Amino acid sequence: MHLITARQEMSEFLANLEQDTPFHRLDPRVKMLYLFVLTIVNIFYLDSKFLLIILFSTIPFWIIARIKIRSILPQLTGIALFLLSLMIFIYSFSGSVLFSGSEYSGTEGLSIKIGPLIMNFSAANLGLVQLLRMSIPMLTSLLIFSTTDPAMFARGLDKLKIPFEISFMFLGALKLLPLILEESRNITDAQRIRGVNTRGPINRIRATGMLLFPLIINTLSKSRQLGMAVECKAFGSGKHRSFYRELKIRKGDYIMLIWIFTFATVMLYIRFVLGMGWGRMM
Amino acid sequence: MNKLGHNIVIEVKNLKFTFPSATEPILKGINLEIYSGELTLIVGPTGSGKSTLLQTFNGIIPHLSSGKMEGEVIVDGLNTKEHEVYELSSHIGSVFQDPDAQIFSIRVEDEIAFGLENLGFSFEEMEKRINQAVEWVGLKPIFKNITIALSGGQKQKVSIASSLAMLPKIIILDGPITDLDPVSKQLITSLLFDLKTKLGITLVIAEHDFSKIIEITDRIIVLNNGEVVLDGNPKDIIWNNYKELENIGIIIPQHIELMHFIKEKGYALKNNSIYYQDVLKYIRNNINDIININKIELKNIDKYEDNISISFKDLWFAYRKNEYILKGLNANIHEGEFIAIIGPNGSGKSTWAKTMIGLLKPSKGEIKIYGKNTENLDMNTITKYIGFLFQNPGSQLFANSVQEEMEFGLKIKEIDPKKISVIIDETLNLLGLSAYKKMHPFSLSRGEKKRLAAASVLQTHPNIVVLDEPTTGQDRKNLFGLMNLMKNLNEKGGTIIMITHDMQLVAEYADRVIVIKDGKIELDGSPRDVFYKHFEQLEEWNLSPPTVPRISYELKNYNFPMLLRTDEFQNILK
Repeated sequence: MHLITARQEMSEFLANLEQDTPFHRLDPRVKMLYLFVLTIVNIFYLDSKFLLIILFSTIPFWIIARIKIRSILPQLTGIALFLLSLMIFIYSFSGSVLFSGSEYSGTEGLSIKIGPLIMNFSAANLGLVQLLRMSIPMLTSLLIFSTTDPAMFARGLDKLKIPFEISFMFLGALKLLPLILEESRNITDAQRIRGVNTRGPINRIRATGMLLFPLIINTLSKSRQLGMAVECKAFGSGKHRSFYRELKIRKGDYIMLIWIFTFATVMLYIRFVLGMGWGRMM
Repeated sequence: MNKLGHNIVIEVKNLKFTFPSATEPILKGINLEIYSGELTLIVGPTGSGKSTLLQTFNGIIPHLSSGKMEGEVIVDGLNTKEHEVYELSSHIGSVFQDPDAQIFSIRVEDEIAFGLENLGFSFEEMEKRINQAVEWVGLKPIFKNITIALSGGQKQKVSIASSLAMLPKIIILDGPITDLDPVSKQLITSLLFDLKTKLGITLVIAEHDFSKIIEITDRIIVLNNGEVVLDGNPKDIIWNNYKELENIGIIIPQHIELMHFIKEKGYALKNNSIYYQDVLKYIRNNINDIININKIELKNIDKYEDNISISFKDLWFAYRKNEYILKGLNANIHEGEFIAIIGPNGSGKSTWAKTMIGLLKPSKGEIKIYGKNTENLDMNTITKYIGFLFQNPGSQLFANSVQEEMEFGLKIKEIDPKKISVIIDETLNLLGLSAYKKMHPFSLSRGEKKRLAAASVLQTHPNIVVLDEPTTGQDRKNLFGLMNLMKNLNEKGGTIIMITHDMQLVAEYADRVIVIKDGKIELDGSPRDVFYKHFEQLEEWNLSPPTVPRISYELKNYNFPMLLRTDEFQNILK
């Protein structure tokens, strides 16, 4: 059951780009560095206390960027569902596939039996840790995507010597996503009218299967059209590509760089010099 | 050079093109020259090869298309076989039909810069050209806007500006106004005229609905079955070959059709005009000589006494709290009515249609189908009464063969299995799809898909059919086929509800029109009444009535009757 039309949703999400906050004005390369550093620091921690600290350290930027939660609700929901299902299905029941046999496996401590499945609390905690570790980069990426003009992004990637073909793939996907979303909603509506039963997980899966073929055909057709259109505008000429948008490092960028450097240093110090954050998590 | 001393910019020599799996070439030996500074219009029925021909001009054929190309195409001195698409792009720009599927960037300014970036222009040169293009096309107010939120017409303007920035000598446009609402159609037509007259750009346009474009056309080329059958200036071609054009399946603009009827009666034999204003002037000046003012039998069917099929009582709908899209709709739809729902973009037309079929539940108020409140009905029950045809037929087809597609609809409705194949055969026959029974739905042409979608909906004989924008992506011939089907259903007592922005369709088929604006019903009555009594209001709302009512309205001071269709005009000629 969709809340509003896909187009409206996309417009609202993109409305975040229209804001002009210090975070928006940051050079995209600085934003990408921030994401990179966060992700690396993330990996070194297995203690939920410290991971929560890392997560909370990103909150001020959300506030500065004045993101409207309603406009990113669909994305947040998607991330939340993904992570929750990960946590529940992989880590909590009868020990985890990755960690069985190690001291991090979920076979110690308290357990509850739910039908044929055993939910174990230490495994659940491990799941929570992994959830945090994944949510931090995912949420920060969301923050960056909703505050960075794709054209600026492409410029940033180019300055980092990444070939335009790769930026083009991202930009193309960004462009096609709302169209795909809209079309999948049309198809699901049509299915409902044709009498397809979408109640219950099995029916839902079957309905999704039926959705895929027309959706793929439609998407391929649109991408082909888009492909032709960009070729008619000299895309793929092999010539050195220039850029309309320019990037300038400003005061705000230097401040952010200082923060990133400080943050990274402190967190790595805590981890490797003080040896904290990697212990057992009960 | 042509007789006006214009240079040749495109030369086509013995062009043949065959698609990979086809037995016959789609282009069968074309020889043509396109002259600089002219606006050339290419017309022809679906499948005649218009788009394919244009694709040989910008190099998509042969470079991006599989298939065999024979012969040569020389564009601005470059042989398309020897130059890649990107090389040709600075000589010939391309604009396509779907406003959404050709814009790559998120913002207007980036889209206009796109081609220039690809060619590696310096920032200074880019800025100069971009500003120029924005100026020429009139995009200053929306220069920084996000492209996804623009109207269809604005998007096409952006695509045109984006091509223009590369300063091509020629721009080809494949169906540029087909998917646009009437206001946008006019906007783009005026823009194209300016490009030709003020900038001297050569334009080659392929279009179905050329009622406005014909007025700015220098030359018309008629394609049929992959061959050029007619080629010359519009006046000569139209008046010397009227019947042939009709037979080929070209849809003649209404104002020209009226002039044709006048000429058939022996009047205006020396008048060769194809301009709307001239036709209007002629009728006005000769009204007493050619029109039987008294011979008026205009049908106005009043079905208000019949049974109510759907009733809407104080219907409110909001996706989000307090953001109402429908604001208290009240209407009774009677059995046997053919209703057109019209309104500007964003008025709530589609949302209303979705509440009818039960896809959306009312936030306030009630909807009753044959007296039963839809709140208590599930989707399966509702669809027993109402069939719904989506804008894009591809959205509602998902089986692996035409037969399966039809079977699906019947099995769900628990029709007796023994009767299923009979029903399917009957319906497919009715819609001319029997030959495709075993084929995959997606291998059908656009028009055939629409007929299949219609078949799957109609086979269960719903009492009410709702059509959402039946004109999108359809050529006139297929559209009339579909509409005639609806008309038959209507004559047998079915209720048809059509959501459309095509005013001509309203005039031709509907016996009642409801105008919805900002979620409220503003007008509700017969097309004749609504167009006549509220002509100026409709214009203000960008819902311009079609040609025949327009002419009638402009001649109202001369006691001219309020006509809806060209055949009504034919009937009142002396």
